[in-house]
Amino acid sequence: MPTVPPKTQRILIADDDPIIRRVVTRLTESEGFQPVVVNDGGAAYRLLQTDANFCGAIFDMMMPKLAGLDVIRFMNTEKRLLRIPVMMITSEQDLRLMANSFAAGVTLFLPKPFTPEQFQNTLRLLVKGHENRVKNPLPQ
Amino acid sequence: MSPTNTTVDQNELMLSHVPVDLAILNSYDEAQEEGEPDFVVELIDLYLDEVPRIFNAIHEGITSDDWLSARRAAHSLRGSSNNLGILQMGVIADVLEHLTANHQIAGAELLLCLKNEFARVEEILLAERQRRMS
Repeated sequence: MPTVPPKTQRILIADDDPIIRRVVTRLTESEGFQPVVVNDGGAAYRLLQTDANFCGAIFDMMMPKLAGLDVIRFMNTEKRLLRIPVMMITSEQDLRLMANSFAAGVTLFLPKPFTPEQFQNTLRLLVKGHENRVKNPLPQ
Repeated sequence: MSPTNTTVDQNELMLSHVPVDLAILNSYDEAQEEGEPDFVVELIDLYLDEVPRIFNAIHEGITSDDWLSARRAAHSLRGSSNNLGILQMGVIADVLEHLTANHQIAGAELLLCLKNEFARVEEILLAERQRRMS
């Protein structure tokens, strides 16, 4: 039986679509995490400038103001943010886009549409990635 | 460049999927928390509230030649519809999203398709809502 994560483990969620945002928030809560929710990439960027206390981040690929990939590029410039694994949610099936995203630092992809079970499994993998990064930090 | 006369085959669009796959929608029961309001009902209400807003955004995008905004709105509709099992809306939104610019006529026709489909979807979702609330 999987151990229940403490509610203090925070997940940053950025999605401009209110329906997907609600779905992702609830499913994240149901896994025992504390969601911190913003409506677009710009808000995620502003938040990450002062707050790095997340065990994972979930971004929509296409967001106004700042797309998910742009937020990840910013995260790559800040050492304190490098340990946060990122799940990218996208309805695009473009392999080149996916390859570029992995190259930019995306940890996991979750294609839309997804089932609750698929989301939960992907979230567990994401947090596992965070635990590994904390145990084995990236070389300086 | 003037608008093209491209039209869409509405019959083909309307027959390819069931309007709502309730098994997908009801799979969100998995995220139901004890003592909390019915999560599926919350999603139904959110969808019924959000779709008219998206229609307005698509309409404004088409009429003001702001194709990027229209496509972005269609993209959002596609993603949320498919995720809730509202498959036919997702199919039509997908076609609209991938229209190239300057297809105002086809865009307007697709928006009409979406509105017609939404009337069917609304009926199904309200029935499901009623079933859950009774």
